[in-house]
Amino acid sequence: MLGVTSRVVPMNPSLQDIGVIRDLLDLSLVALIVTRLSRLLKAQLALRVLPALCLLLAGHLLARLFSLYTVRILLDTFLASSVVVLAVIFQTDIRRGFAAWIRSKTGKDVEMSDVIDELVFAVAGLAQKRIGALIVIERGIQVDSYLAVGTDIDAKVTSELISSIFLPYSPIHDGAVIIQHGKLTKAGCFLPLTQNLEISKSLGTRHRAAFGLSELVDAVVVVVSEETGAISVVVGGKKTVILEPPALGKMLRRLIEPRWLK
Amino acid sequence: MRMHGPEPSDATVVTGLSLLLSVLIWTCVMVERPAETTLKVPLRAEHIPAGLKVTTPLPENVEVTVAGPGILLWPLRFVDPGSVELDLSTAAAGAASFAADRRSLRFADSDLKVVRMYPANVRVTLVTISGQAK
Repeated sequence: MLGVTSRVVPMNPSLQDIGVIRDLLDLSLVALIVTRLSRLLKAQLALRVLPALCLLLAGHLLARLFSLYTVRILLDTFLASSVVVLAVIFQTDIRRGFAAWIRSKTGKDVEMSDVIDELVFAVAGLAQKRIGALIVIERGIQVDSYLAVGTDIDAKVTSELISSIFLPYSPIHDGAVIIQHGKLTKAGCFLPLTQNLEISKSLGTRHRAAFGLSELVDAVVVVVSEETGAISVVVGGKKTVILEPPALGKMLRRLIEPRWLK
Repeated sequence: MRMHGPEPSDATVVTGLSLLLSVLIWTCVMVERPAETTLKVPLRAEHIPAGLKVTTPLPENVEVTVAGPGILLWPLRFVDPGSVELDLSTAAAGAASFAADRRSLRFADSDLKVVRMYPANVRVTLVTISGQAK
């Protein structure tokens, strides 16, 4: 006959209450940290990573409960290394997430430069003439290490300069213009193309380059299609089609903080 | 104009998964907290020398206190760890105290340890079975 009695160590009821509160506080803090960290990842990425981690932990619990020693050692080893593996694999997402988090902590009290007005004016003109354009506006993460070729310019952003760069007879029209700290720093830059297979095959190299860079850094990429004259803004691997130039200005003001134009 | 960023439904799912992951992480740590539990395990007299018999009634059960991670103590409510042996191989006729053998208990995980038994020693009186005595 086997019987089980209650826990040996008697506890004062008030100490038990404190224990429950402490456990709830502990759990809440863990939840806060995990939720915050998971928000740094893109939703689609988090939807793949989080269930896998949950399964690993549930497997660990079951292996421990049923004393499955080898399974437990395997899962523990995998769990211990998963933090480093995830950090390496998703470093760009984590970096972008941190940049977004820092951005959200900073107020928008600085006066907006007229760079955006110049940009909007240039893009509207290019779109009207159906001249293709690719404009990268750097935000928190530097884009230099992802650029190939290109010509250094370092000039004030003006609609005339942007328009002339993208005119078909310009030697540097076939590439991206880079805007860093409110200045047009480079033109004719080749960007990394996206490897995302889900992107429509109908999109050309210019759009693929916009997706490719935006998947790696937090830059805002403005694309003008030379086939349709459509204006698009690509951020974080997501494209937004702009119907009217004023909407572009509104969106750029929302996405770009004045400090990135200084 | 389409909004960029995750869809609200995705954000809700991510939050839900994050909370589930938090609970799992917390549970994984909490269940490893050291704890103790007391089991009532049957006591069995073993290796009684030939020609002797136990006359004193033995306690039916021994209270065994087991220590280890909480997750390993919980299944003990449902699993029979066996019985505690009282090794009488060295016994002779008369009264003597014998220690209950904690090694006779078999646990699935080596992290579980018997820390106490009550009674730890059992007083046993053995008499010679008539007809076999010299």
